[in-house]
Amino acid sequence: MFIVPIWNVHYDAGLNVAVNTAAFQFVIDFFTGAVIHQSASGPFATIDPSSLPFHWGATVVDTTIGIASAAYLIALGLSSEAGGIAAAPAATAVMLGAALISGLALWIAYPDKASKLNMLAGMLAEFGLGAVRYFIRVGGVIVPVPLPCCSQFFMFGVGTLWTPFWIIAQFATPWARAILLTGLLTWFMAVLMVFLYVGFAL
Amino acid sequence: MKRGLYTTIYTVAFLPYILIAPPLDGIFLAAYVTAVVFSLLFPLHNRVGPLASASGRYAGVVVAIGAVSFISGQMIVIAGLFLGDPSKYVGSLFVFLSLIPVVLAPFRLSRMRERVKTRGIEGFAVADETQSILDHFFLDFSTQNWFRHGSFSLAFLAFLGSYYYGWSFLGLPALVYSMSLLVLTAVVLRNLAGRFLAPYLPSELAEQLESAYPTNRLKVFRAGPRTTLVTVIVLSFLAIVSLAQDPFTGNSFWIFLLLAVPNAAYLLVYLVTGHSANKSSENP
Repeated sequence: MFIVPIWNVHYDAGLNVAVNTAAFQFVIDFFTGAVIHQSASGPFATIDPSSLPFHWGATVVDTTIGIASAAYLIALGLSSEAGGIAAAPAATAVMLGAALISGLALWIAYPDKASKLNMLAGMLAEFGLGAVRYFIRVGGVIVPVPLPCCSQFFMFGVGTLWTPFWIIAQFATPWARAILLTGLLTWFMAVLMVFLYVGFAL
Repeated sequence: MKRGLYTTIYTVAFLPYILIAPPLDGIFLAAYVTAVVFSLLFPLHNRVGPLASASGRYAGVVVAIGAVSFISGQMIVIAGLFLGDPSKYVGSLFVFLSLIPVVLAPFRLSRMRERVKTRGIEGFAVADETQSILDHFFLDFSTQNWFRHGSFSLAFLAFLGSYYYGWSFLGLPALVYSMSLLVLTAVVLRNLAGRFLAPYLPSELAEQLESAYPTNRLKVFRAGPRTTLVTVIVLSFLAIVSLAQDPFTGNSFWIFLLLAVPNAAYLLVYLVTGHSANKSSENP
C-alpha cells in the first residue's frame, strides 16, 4: 500500500466544442491533469466516458504507443553505420500491428453497438487528449509523507506511455519524425473511420 | 540463426509469468530479470572463442525483450477484458521498457570492441553522428556516468522512472529487490565495458566519442559514476521506505530486512570492485 497524496489545487481548463448537433466537453484539473468532466454526444449515440469500454479503448492506444516506442529504441540501438536506421518504419509497423490486434480483440469483446462506440471514442480521446493530460500532469508534485487521508498512489495512469514517444518525436531526425507522425495519423484516421461507420451504419 | 535461437529461449522463458498468480508472479519476474542480467556475462566465458560472436547473442536478447514487451502490452488488454486485473502486465511492460537500454548496452559494447580492435582508439569514432551519440550514450550508461552530460540525463531519468514505476506494481518486496538488481546490473555492465574495451579505459573512449560531434551540446556534471549510483540507490531506498506503509512491523520487517541486507552487500561490492575501470571518468 502506498500513500502519496498529490496536490489537488484546482484550476479548471475547459474545452467545449459544439458542431451542429454534436457536442464535446472536456474539463481537466490544471495541476494534476485529472479529468473532472468529459462528455460527448451526437446525433447517433451518447458517449459515456466513465464506461469500461471507453477506458479500455484509451488503454489500448496508450499501450500501443508504448510498444511502438520500445520497437523504435530497439531498432535504433541495433542499427549500424552501414545498415542505416530502420527505427521509425519498424516502430510504425509495430504500432499499426499492435493497434490492429488490440482493436480486433476489443471489437470481438464488445458485441453491442454502444460498447463498440464507447471503445472507439476512448481510443480517439486518448490519441489527442491523453497527450494533453500527460503534459499537464508533469506539474504534479510527489509528497513523500504518509497521510491517513488519501490512499492514492501517484498514478500517472493513462497517458504515461506517451512520454517516450514525445521524447522520440522531439529528438528524431526529420525523416523519422515524418514516418512516425504519418503512422500515427494513419491509425487515427482508421479509428475515426471505424467510429463513424459504427455510429452511422452499423 | 543464433539470434533467432536466443530470441526464442528468452521469450519462452518469460511465458510462465502469464500462468503464475500473485504474489508469486513478482518473484518470477524478479528471477527472470536477474537471470537475463546475469546471462549478459555468458559470452565472456565462451571457451571456443572468448567474446566471439557476442553481437549475435546480444541481438537475440534485445529482440526477445522487445517481444516480451509486446506480449505484456497485449496482455494488459486481454487481462483487463477477460481476467479482471491487468496490473501485473502494466508492471512487466514498464520493467521491460527500462530493460531495453540494459540489454542494448552489451550489444553496442561488443560492436565497439570490434571497432577498437580493427581501427584502434584513433579511428574509434564513426562518421555517422547518430551512431556516435548512441555509442556514447551506452558507454556512459554502462559506466554509470548517468548525469555527466545534460543531453543524456533525461533519458537516464526516464529509465529510472520506468524501472521503479514498473516494479511498484509488483509489491514492496519486488520494489525493494529492484534496487539490488539495479546495483547488480551496474556491476555487470561496468564489468562488460571494462573487458570488452580493454586495453583502453571506457572513459578514454568516451572522450574520443565526445570529439566526434559538437561538444557544445553537453554539460559536464562533476559527480562520478560511483557517486551517481550510490546516490540514486540511497535516495531510492529512502523514498521507498518513506512511501511504504509500516515497513518495520510484523512480517514486513523481515521481508524488508531480507532485502535490505543483500542490497547493502551489492552496494558494498560495487564500491569495492572495479575502481580502476572508471578512474579517469570520475575526474572529467
